[in-house]
Amino acid sequence: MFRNFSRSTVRVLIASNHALFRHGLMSLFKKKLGVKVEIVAEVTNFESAIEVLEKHEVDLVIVDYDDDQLNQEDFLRRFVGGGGQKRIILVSLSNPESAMLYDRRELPLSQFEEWFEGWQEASTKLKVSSAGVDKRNNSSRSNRMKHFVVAGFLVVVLTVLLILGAGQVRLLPVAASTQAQPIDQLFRLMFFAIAFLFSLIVVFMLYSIVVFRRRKGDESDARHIEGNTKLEVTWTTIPLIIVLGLSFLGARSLAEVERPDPKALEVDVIGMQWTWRFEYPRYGIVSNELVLPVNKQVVLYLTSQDVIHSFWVPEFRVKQDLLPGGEEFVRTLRITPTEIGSYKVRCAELCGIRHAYMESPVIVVSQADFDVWVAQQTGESTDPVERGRKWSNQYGCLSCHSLDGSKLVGPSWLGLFGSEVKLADGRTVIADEAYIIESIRNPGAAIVEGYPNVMPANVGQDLSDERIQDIIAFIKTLR
Amino acid sequence: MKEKVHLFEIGLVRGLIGMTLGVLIGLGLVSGIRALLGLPVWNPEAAWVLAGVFGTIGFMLMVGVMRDWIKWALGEETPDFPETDPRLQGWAKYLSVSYDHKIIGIQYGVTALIVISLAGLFAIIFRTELIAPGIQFLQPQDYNTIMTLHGIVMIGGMLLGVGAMSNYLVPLLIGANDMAFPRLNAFAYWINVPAVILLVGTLFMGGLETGWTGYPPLSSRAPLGTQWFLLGVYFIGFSSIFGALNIIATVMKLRAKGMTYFRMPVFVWTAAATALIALTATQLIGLSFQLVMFERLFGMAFFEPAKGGNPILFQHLFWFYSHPAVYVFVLTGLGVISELLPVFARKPLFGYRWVALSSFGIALVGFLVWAHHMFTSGMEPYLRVPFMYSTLLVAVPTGVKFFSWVATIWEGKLSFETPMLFVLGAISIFLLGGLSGPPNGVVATDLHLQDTYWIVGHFHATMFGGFLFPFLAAIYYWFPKITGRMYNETLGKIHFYMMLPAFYVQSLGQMQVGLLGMRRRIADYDPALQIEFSHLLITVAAYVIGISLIIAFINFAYSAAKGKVVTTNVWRSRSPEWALLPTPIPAHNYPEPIEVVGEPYDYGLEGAVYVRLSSSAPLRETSEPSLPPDTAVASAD
Amino acid sequence: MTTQTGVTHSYREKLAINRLGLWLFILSDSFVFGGLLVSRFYLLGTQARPHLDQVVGFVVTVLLLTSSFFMNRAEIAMAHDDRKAFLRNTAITLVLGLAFLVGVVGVEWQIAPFGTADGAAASIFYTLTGFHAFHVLTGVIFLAVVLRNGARGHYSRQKHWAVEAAAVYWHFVDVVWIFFYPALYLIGTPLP
Repeated sequence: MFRNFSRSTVRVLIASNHALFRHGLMSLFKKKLGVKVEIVAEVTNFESAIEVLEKHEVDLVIVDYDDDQLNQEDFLRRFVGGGGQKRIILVSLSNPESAMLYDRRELPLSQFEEWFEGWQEASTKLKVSSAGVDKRNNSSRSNRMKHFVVAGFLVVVLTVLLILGAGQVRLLPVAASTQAQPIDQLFRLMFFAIAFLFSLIVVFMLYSIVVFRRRKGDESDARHIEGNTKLEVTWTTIPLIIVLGLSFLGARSLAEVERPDPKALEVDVIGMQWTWRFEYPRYGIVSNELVLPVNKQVVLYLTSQDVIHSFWVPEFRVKQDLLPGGEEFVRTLRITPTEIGSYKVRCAELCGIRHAYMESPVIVVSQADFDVWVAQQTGESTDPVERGRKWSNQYGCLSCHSLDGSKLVGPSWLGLFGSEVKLADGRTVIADEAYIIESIRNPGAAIVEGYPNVMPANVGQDLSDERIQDIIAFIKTLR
Repeated sequence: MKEKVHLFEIGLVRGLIGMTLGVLIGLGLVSGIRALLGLPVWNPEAAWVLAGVFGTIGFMLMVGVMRDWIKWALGEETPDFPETDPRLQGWAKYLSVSYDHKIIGIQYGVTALIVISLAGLFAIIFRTELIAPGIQFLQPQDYNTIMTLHGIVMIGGMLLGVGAMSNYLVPLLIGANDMAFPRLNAFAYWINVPAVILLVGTLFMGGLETGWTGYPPLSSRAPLGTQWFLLGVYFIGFSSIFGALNIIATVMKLRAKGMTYFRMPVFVWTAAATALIALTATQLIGLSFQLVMFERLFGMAFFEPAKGGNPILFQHLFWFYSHPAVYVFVLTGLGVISELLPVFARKPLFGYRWVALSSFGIALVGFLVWAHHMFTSGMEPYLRVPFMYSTLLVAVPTGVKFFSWVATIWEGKLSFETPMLFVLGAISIFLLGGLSGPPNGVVATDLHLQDTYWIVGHFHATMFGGFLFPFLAAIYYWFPKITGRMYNETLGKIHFYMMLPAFYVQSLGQMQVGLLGMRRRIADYDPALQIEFSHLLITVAAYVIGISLIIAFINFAYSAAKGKVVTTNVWRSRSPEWALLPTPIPAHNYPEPIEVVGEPYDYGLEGAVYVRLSSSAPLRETSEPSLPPDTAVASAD
Repeated sequence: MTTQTGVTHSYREKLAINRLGLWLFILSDSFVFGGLLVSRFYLLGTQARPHLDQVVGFVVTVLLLTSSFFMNRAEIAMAHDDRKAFLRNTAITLVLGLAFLVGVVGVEWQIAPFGTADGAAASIFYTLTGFHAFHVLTGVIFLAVVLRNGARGHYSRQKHWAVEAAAVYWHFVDVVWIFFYPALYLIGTPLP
């Protein structure tokens, strides 16, 4: 039972009224176990037990559980915790198969050994640790400075490595606007700061993990350092100054990003589930592509027809939400594109089922090409079918109705005109002109079976009757 | 002699029955009243909302947690400390109402792990979809629902985890025998169950497509599932508020003799700061969600511009809670880090007072920054710069914690058992999360980052670092104290060494694709962005994290049943629950009052004592304590 | 608090803990009403308010403020162990509270020239008065419970926590109305 105790002497106190019990235990220890056991005392009552415990170091107290002269509750309460390493077991003659521990858990004898060994180990550890700090003093002043210097050097190394590493990875898209300049500058500044601060903390942590490990068998505590007020003030004040400085730079950059050009090109951006429409009031152009002249500021007036959307071209960096509600809720966004090329605006505020697909081309061209485009757009086509195709694009029809038969949100237009349509309310109608007009002006009136009733009621509010006729002409050609 | 407990005596079973009945009553009541008023009988919005409300009430009545309050209303006396039915043992005990904060803490903890796993499963589903551009198997409407549920269910899981840690630990750490209001404690736990059922129920009600932030006008028009989402969050809020109330009252009133505020274990400081936020700010998400429900139910117009409303009002109300909420998620975790480092470094917590006060610093500043979520919202432009300043200011008290942690382990004597590994991992991950904050806090750069995966990377890092890793550290650390058995150290290390690098891959990947143009909350992304490979890596990382958690759960379950029995102060902690209490902890914690006679973290100071039982004071006259007869053996389960 | 361990709490200590709990609850609840006030001013500004009947508004306000007076009298009666006065004053408070509810939900809501779906001002009106009325209702229920238990002799000068709690809650609901009444009836000009 007491296998591993050859190293230390176990000092035992036996508390029982029964001589037989006491003698029995004594011979058990001495004869069977070969453990060095010192019976500190045998006592027959509570008061004597307390006396002994106060005067002597005792490791193990064995209490006769059957003895009703001994008030176990009182006795046990005194010796629970308090940093004492004593262990108390209650043994009963009437229940020889098990011993009861002071926390009143019953353990069969087979598990008792395990418990006992575990306790013995732990109390050895406790003894050593309460002896205080490791007396081997290897933390002299110069040693500490050495640690700081090495760690500090490694911080610089890791910072450099991180910055170089970050340079190898694609991080930001190409910068294609003047607004991107101060923004990217801030990004660069912050990436450096992030690399440095990350290294600062992580290097000191890793250094501690490697250098300040607990040596095997060393159960003593480390140096008792509670704090350092000067250090606290320093590492509160310096970050405070840094964040105030960063905020100041941020405010300045924001002003630069939003600097208005009074001669900016004006474009109205109307967002709706799930398409974009761009209107150039100066030219009377309605387009589903945002075409912009390079190096000229455009001021976008953003509004939504339904829920909140957001305008964002990553290469231009800036974004702004589109709010519903008309005049009062129009918001502006200013962009000065600097690189000719093709980009995409993608909605950046979750707006429903097809939010992922709410995108439109943004094409930056030279001023000359832009003028050509304007001329093309304002000259209206004489062909109603061609016009109809244009309106279908610009007013968002094609974001929900396909031209090739595939099922998007609404019924496909392929083969639609003149066909028989089964409605959700059970009626069957012919898809004639009246049907199409009603579908645009009053979408909820005749929902096709198998399709959701989500076509917004206001989708056709800007569509004149003539334009609807053009759309019908276009649909008629889709066989 | 164990009497067999009938199935219908188990609280959870009764609660579910109550919830079913309540739902039916709600549906019936609405339809009935509408019929009487001559309206069309079936209005799904009204019917299902009332069904959800009655269902929750039904659950709470039948689970039994209101029993004593009903007695008080009827003028009946109840015992000072409510006892649970002694016939409930094992599973039955944990699935029924208990008023013991330790049982409630375990209920919170196990429920937290289940809920977190559920949310994680949702994530694995849509992460699999995101492996490549195009739709693989998850249609956009289902994607939006699953993505939304991942967010809100995970938030619920984190609140449960915070509840687990606070409720289990605070009374033990301050030397109390339970919380100030044990019945309220039980109520605050149990209301989470019907609330989570409501959230998951949205899957069967047409889903929802709004993301957990539920912005109107989209949320006023989104499918029916939105109503149970709003209602479920509302009830989770009740739990937060009542739980917080209990913590504050407990910390203010039940500290042991000699335990001044600056002699409390530092975890109690973070629990108190967390509670202050949860008590007050939570009302605002309840309010904002309720107003959306009223829009849907009664045609009200708070956020509809066409009718005089303003969608930005919602965002102000919502974020006024939801920003401080993130500090609710992480402060207790940061407290766990501060609590464990001294034990494993054998060195005092550096600058204890500063660390303690920094928790309140973070909480207070955290109330002043909400509009940084709204820089692109179209709110008044002049608000942006002040909120930028206040946002960046949070870095200061947070920095105090980081520097203190490093200073604690510097020149320490570190050992690396699993809890310490998770604490060290937490620090590095929370660091990454925190450092990715300023680019969002600076308005100009936020114009690029808002609503992108950079934000997703930022908050996953702060959540993993501030909540999940410390929560796991706490479970490993207190596991032997709670169960009386030791977890398997090898499995614990495997868990850690899988989860840490996988998380770095996930987080850095998310931040990168966000910078390059990947928006949030999309089922499909443009191949032109050329981010396919990064997404593949992120998805693989997610799977690795999931597997590592499964390993952990196996470890916990097996060790709790068959692990090596330990009853000693295995970590040699100075904290009262380790130094003064046997393992497992008896029903009412400390058998007699304890006294604080020293500082909590005086490792390395020879002879320093922190706490002791009142009666073990030397040379002190002990009065006869009044004790009950020796009751049943303290059960280990 | 418990007799099974060495730690017991006296009635005084328990009372102090309960009081703290009540005030924390009130602190939390005030945030709801604060949020509602913020919403009212955010949407309508300080120059506009809903179009409401001033007479009804004034009457219900008087009813509620008076009820608080009687609640206070009930508390004082309890402090002097005057059970009859306590019951009488509590009953009056309860009746006045019910009258308030009738006045708001039964009269004001019915005669309002707008419905719930009639725009922002209407929504503000119904929501603010609705939340407040809900709290009055719970207060009335609380008072009914206290009245019943008081009639059965459960309270004494030394032990009447439920009475104290009901009174504090009632006063809180009253204070909320002191902010809501001007916000709805007095500040700004009525919208057409």
